[in-house]
Amino acid sequence: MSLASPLTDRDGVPSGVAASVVDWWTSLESDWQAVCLGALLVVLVRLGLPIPW
Amino acid sequence: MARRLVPGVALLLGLGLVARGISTIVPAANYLIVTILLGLVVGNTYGVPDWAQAGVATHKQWLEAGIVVMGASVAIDRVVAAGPTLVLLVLATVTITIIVVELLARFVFDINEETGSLLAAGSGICGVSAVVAIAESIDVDETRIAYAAATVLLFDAAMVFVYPLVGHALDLSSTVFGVWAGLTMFSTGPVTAAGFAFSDTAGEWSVLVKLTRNATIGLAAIAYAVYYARRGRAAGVEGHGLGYLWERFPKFILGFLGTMLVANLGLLSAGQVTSLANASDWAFLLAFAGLGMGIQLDELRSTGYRPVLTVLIGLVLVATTMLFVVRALF
Repeated sequence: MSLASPLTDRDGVPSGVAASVVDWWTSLESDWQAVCLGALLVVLVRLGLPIPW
Repeated sequence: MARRLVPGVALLLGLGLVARGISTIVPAANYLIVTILLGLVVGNTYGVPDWAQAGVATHKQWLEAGIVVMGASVAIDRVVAAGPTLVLLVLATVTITIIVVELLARFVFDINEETGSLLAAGSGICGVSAVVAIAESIDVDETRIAYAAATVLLFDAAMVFVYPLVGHALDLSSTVFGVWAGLTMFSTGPVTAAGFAFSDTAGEWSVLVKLTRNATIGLAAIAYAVYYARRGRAAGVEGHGLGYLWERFPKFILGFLGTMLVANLGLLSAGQVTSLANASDWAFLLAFAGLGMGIQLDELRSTGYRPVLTVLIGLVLVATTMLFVVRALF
């Protein structure tokens, strides 16, 4: 038995907003997924997230 | 979805970290090349386990995301200064490669016309993606696609190791090596790996040139569709307009340009640019582990000697010629 979280129900199935985000993400073609991932990284770094090597 | 992806991504990360460890112990071993080799060994001995399939399949997105954030490290003035020369070099190389491989395939090695076109597109533009794009535009059967794709993959697997060795043996500068690799190697992943294995500057130039080459895929697909339609060998070219060009255009190039613009407008500090360069390195680490796992040696053995010789002779001719040209210009 899995526990519910803010993003999933008790069975681990995405619920509400999380499900919409997953649906939107999987509907994107691979190139756009890469663009979104890159843009997210740029925003996070701009907001102060350091990424070490 | 995340639960499905995490195990495979963790496997890619694990391979990359082991490769980094090895290259720390053996400094001569570049960690990107070691990552690909480790992926290749694991993929061809144990295979990709079922639990890791979905995560390992994300390696293409990691490569493209890595290229998107790499845009922050590229100085826009350098691109603008070299822009017209690069565009001319790319157009010349794509055209010459396609013509040379088509001629070799048809008149020297007597290869089926459509297979020759797939080999020419794969060699001239962007590897397997070009093979698939051209195959769709000229309506080729799947056996020929598999045959041409396997030949291109064989060269991708070899060139990622051979190019840096040749570059060092000839004592090429980072700029010359990067431009040369971007112009003459095939698929984007191996070009990026070979470029960064040579040096960071070479990696940036190789990706920049390769992205310019990739952008010609839509035009090449239309040209082939027109050619084969005139010969009554394809469905036609209806709908091959701007919408078709957009559909074929590799959109992650826009992300790369966007990040380059953001960084060059001064919206990121030097520390943030370094963080994005590190993010790019991490993404490449995952991408190249997956790239290595995707090289299936059994499948490569299925290529015949005639397609291999066609592509090999075409590559040697074009790569040698372009090396002289690039050395004279940069």
